[in-house]
Amino acid sequence: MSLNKVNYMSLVKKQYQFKLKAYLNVFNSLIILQLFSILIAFNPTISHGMSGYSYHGSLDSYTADFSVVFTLLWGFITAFLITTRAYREDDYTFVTNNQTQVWSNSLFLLTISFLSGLTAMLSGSLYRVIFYFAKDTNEIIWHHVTLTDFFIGFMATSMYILLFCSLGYLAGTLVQLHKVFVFILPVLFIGLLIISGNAGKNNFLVNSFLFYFQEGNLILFTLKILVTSGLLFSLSMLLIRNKEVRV
Amino acid sequence: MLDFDSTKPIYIQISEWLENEILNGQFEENDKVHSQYSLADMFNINPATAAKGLNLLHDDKVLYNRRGLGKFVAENAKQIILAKRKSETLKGLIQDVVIEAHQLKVTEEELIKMIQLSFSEEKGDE
Amino acid sequence: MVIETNTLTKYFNKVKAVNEISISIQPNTITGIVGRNGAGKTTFLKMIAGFLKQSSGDINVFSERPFNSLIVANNSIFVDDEMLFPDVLTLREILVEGNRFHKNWDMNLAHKMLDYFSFNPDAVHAQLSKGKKSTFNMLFGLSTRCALTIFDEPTTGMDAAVRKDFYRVLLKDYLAYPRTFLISSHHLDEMEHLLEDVLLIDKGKLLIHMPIDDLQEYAVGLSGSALIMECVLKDQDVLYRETINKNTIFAIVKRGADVENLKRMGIRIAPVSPSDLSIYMTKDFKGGIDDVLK
Repeated sequence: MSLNKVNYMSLVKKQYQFKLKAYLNVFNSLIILQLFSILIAFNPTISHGMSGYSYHGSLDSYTADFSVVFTLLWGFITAFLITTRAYREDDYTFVTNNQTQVWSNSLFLLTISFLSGLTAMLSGSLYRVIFYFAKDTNEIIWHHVTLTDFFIGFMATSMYILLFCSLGYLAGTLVQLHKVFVFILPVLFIGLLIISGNAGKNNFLVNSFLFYFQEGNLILFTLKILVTSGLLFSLSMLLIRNKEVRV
Repeated sequence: MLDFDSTKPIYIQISEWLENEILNGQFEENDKVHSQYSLADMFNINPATAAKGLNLLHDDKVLYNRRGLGKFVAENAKQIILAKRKSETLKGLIQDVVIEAHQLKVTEEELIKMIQLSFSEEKGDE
Repeated sequence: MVIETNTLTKYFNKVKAVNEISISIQPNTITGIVGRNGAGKTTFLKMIAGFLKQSSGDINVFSERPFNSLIVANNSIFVDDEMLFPDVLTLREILVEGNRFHKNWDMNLAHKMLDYFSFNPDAVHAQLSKGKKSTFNMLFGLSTRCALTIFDEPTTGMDAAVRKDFYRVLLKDYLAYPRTFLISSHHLDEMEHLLEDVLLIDKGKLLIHMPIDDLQEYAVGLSGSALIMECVLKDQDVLYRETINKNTIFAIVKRGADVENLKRMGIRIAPVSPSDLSIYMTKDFKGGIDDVLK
């Protein structure tokens, strides 16, 4: 019988659509994390009290940033998880190879970066609404958020999540290549933190962080993240290309 | 219809079944016989095995080939089958009987008497 | 040739799981692969499927190196009892995915079989019993209608009735939609009628590759008095021998022309089924199970 030809892009698309259905469970943990983050945000981050002879005042600062931080971690962990055997081998039940798998995984992670970025922003909004009704004081000073601010926040958050996803995916890939990386990677990371701490001004960690963080222009920022993530995913693709499956 | 546990290879059972069908008149001369695929379906066997059975009959000139159309019963198929059975099958059976008789120390006369007895029993049944 | 290997070898931790196997498999044939547990059948098949890379030697499937090949992945399916399906999809949804990935997929056939084998389409694969899993994996594999369909011990856990149905549906679908089947199984005797060719693998090596019809006539079993047998066996190609008791020897030899002669000498001759032949040829010659109980 004649062989069926393969259209590379169409196959990646099929795998991507498959993963949107098959990996749905990852959102369960996201929802729990984000609801939890709203809960703990009710603890003030800064409590400032002032008192004098005849007056007393206190200022509590609150922030919903926890949901962003949790989401970043969630992104890293989710990306790490999809490199593990169970997820990898699911693809081989259908049609895939090492390269198309990384492509569809990257597209999947890109999608969940935006989705979780959106829900992270909306958790912030939800938090405000709950806060308004929960705290029975009228003396709330709001940090105003315009639609543009919201959009910029959404894009920035999503891009940071994407960056963490690509780091998690690379970490997972390294671990798949050799179990020893389970020890090496955390040690490297902590080691990097320590060295950076000791280096003072010119330290690598802070500078690379600032490379992204200080970028004022949204388009440039998005570009920086996309290129970095792209490089990290490409590195993962390179590393995994000879890995066997169903051993 | 087929004995999978038999000592006889399946493709030979297939060819014998077809021979019987021809002898019974199910297939007349120049009739098309079953293809290897329909035999495979009927007897639940691999078509290559069925094809081997068909080829065996083709080699014996019981069937002839018409390109693209299949295998057909040859003109004097019946005679060929009967002659074959006489010279090979019957002969083989007789050899086995003689060897067995030899082992059991049955003499030639005793054996012939036993054969004659079997013949008359057969006639009696008819 | 749909599959061709040349001194194909695979090491796992210094052990040769597959040892210089050279074969070629013709397209649209059903080949049975037999051998004991750990003989290397699964490793061999996983290299064909493109899951594993060889340590040395060549392997070509559809004229391509199968590892990481999309042509091979797209036109072949590997069915075994460890096939993983996503937990979150129901059986019905799995069939839908099968349809999306495989161009030749027959949804009609898939649903009919799902129904026939009494599956609940809304069940989840992970919660099926072992036998049901094997049955589902089997019907999934058949429905893909892939040009190369590989079944590795597909009948694990299946009861006899389902096994019978499996052989029947496989044969019928093969007749209607010819493709290349590779089936490894411990139940060679049940499958013999289905097969065209047989591959016998033992300790990583290829012992036999021949049409099943030839294999059925390949060897004969001889038994007779020790004296006569000793004499006779000197001239035979002996594949296996066993001393039954003081006076009787049983041996399996390659079939030769002088069968009539042997009969006259009082030796009992019996055919050897491919299934029995495989067992005898892969025995370790460390004695039989009876010795354990002595």
